[in-house]
Amino acid sequence: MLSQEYPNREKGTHSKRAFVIAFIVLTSLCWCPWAYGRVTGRMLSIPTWAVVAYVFAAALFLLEWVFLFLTGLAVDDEDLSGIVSELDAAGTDDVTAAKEAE
Amino acid sequence: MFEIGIITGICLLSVLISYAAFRRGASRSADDYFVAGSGLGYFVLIFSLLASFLSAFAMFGISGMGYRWGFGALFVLTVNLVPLGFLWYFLHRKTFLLGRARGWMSMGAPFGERYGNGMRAIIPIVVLVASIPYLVAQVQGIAIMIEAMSEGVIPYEAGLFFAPTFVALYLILGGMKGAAWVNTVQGIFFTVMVFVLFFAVMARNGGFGPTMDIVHEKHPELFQLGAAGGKIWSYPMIFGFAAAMCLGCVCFPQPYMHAYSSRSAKGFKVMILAFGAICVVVISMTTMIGIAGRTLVTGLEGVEADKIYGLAAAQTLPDWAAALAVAGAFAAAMTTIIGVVFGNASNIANDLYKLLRPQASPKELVRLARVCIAGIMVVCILMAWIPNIPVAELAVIAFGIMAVTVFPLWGAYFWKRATRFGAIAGTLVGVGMNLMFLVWGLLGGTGAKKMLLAPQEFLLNLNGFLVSFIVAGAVFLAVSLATRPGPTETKSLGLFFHPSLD
Repeated sequence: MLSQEYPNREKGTHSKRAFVIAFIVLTSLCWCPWAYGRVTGRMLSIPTWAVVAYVFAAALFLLEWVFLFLTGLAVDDEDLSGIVSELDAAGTDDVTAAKEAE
Repeated sequence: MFEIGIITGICLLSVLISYAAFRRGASRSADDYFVAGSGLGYFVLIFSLLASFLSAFAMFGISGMGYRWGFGALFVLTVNLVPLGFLWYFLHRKTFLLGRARGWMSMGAPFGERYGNGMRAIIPIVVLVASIPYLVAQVQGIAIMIEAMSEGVIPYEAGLFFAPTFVALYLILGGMKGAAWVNTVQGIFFTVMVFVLFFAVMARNGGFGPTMDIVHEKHPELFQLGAAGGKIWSYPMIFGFAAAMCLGCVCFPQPYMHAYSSRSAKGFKVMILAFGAICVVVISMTTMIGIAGRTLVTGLEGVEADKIYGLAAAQTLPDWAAALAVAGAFAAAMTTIIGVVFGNASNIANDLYKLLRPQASPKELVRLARVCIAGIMVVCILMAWIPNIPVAELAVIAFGIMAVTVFPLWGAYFWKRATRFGAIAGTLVGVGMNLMFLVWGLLGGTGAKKMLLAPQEFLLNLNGFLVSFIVAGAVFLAVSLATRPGPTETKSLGLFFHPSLD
């Protein structure tokens, strides 16, 4: 039932995990220059390690962009109203159930 | 005085913009006032979020860091913020979806629905305590800038009223929509001015390459990691700064308020993706303005180095353009105040007051939020008036305290076993440890900033922020596992783990 309503959901579990692993690896490289901090010299007038840091940041940005807009794994406007309606109904059910319990 | 005229003009224009939002019906209901009727498009969202985060520190502080310590400063507010694109997405996707469905209008709402009233009351108090010194630092900074720009004609005490008066006007008149538009206008303004100053500074020595060649010849240490005998930009120092700044950003009120205010899923995604990328471009420029500043001004030591942004503008731009560049930093400080004050006012009205008076009408909540805005601004002026409070030192605690709320937020959305006891214990222990390190730093002579952000040997080369963060997470997990979910947590699972959210 769910896969018919939201076809992107079930196919994406493995892809999502792969993205998360890639995000974590690239984040650690954006938070600390592990290994590449030892690279000396200059490139494009700035330190080579800074160029490498920019490259990792650009790679992470591109990966985030692909994940958010091209894979169908992230929430999009086509699904939005359906999801909100279901959540709205679930929330109303909770309130009704709580009132009945009282 | 020319700078004062420019910035006053920008502020008055912003009041008009905020009032126009009000006239267009932005403040007719509580939903309109607090979350702009969930109707903001992505252009406004991007610049509003950016402006509400980037304070004067992003201009003066970062260029000062570039001047003193060189390219390692790129790990403070640039490449390290790109992960926010996915961190904000994973942590706030449910904030966006559930907020829309449940009509949430404050940061405490998800915590309240998931963990009950205890967390709903703690969150606004924690956020307020963390952000007041941060706000006071901005108000003080603006007053100092006004005194300097007016060459003493406007004294510090009079300058203290400038930012609070305008911020109160924007927010009381326009609510979230007014604030977002004001942030957008001022955000675009200071972004443009950073570009102008960057190109002017580089053009002084014949372009970017020649400028960097000159700096490299005289100060090769600015291009190195591990300079000064390994002390400047060691790996622990870089990791400490990078992680602290990024994780702190995750849990400020601004991403919550902007998630609630987004018109569409696309707008939400564009906003969180663009933030890091724009920071990389804009803050890299301010860092490099500081580095190139070595070719313009010599001998600035310690906090004096923070003046390099203004000095570089004065040396490379005509007077009127230099005034505009400094006014850009002024605008950045104003927009940060707007974002944080509005988040706090929304929290107090929608979480604390609603808890005390559940039957409060929407009009009453809006009225109270407006009173809170005025009240917070009065408190900031009073605190800034007392010169002996070490506000700049206290302000660093904002990021550390906000960051510990990430665990209850993660638990609310991703861990069914999370309990209210774990959430409360983790938050309080994290806040307590941050305060402990703050006091330790202040009394022990290390300094609060160093204790919280610089690696400490006795903490295994981590900084106080990261130790508090790790302990808060461990306490949250341990206490949640040791206690049983109550009726509130159990009931909330149906909504927070609804199949449509998978």
